[in-house]
Amino acid sequence: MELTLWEFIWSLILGIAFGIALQKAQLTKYSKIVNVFRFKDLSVLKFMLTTLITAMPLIFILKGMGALSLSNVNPTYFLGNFVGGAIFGVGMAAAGFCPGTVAGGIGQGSLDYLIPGGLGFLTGAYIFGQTYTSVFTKLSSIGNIGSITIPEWLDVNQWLFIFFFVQMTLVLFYFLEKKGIK
Amino acid sequence: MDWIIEQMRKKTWSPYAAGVFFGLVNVLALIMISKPLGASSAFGKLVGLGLSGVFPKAVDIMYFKFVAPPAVNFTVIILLGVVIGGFISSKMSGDFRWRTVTDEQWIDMFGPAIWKKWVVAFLGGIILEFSAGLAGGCTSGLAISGTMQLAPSGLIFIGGLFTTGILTSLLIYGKKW
Repeated sequence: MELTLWEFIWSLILGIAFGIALQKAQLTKYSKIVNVFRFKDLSVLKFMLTTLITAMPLIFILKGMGALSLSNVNPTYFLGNFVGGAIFGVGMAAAGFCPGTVAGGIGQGSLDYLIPGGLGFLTGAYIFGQTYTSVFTKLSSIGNIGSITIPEWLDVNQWLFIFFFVQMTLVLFYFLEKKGIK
Repeated sequence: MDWIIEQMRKKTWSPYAAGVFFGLVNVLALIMISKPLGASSAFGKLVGLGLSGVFPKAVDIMYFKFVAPPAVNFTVIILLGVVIGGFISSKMSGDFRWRTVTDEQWIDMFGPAIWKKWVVAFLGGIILEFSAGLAGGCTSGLAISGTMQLAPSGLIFIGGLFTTGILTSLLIYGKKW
């Protein structure tokens, strides 16, 4: 264990809340995940965007107050982020789950998520480890601009960017609800 | 407290309500453990742990020695928490059920054969975990955790994901798309 008791307790609480959110939004079901790609049910998109417009302003307000620091901003390396995302989309649309929702689905009793799903994820992790130096190291060196934020990268005001992001999302939600799009 | 139990007994929350809740959980993670939430990296830790017990030679490579040494770290506990959270949520709402094929839409499209779903789940798992490694995270650890911290990588990942997600479902569903 490379964890303090405090980290253990909080990781467990956060994980449980994570699982509850996914299961209550029904994202632990094959159809919910697949149907966002068929434009039949946009719950996944609504859930993701609501999470973002809730967390994003709060994080930067707290950061401005000095209450938290962002030391783990995901690094950007254009080709790898995109290619990884593109391969990920194939798996997500075919299997109808992703790494978080597969775990939430195991909790609701889905044996197809637990046995072949879980074994698949472990196998994928092992293949990634085996090919790390030959594939990942090379891919992530292409277009690598490091742990940078969009406002830093494009030299725009971060509040302006956040305001714009929240505003556009709310306009999209208004449109979706007005048209009655699920 | 009554209100919480009432909410937990519901089978479905609106994606907006669940999203606000999950947004707050993501912020709490940055405050309490100074790390963004994620799910994909836990599988690397788990396979490393499993193999180092039974077949240590398999993990005697650069990745498991230096990049992601086998250990029970916070990502493993979070993933365990997600399983428990899914269990609590489905038990309280009566949605818990042993399922060999999740869910009805799959059966309508591809029939009730278990092996078909299990083969796709296994191959899908390999593809998802390998690509999450390449991208630097998954739907949670990059699309959400990255974008909420304004990392360009989060939005680039979302762009890639939806492009091929739509194309793949179009290919699989054909006329029924």
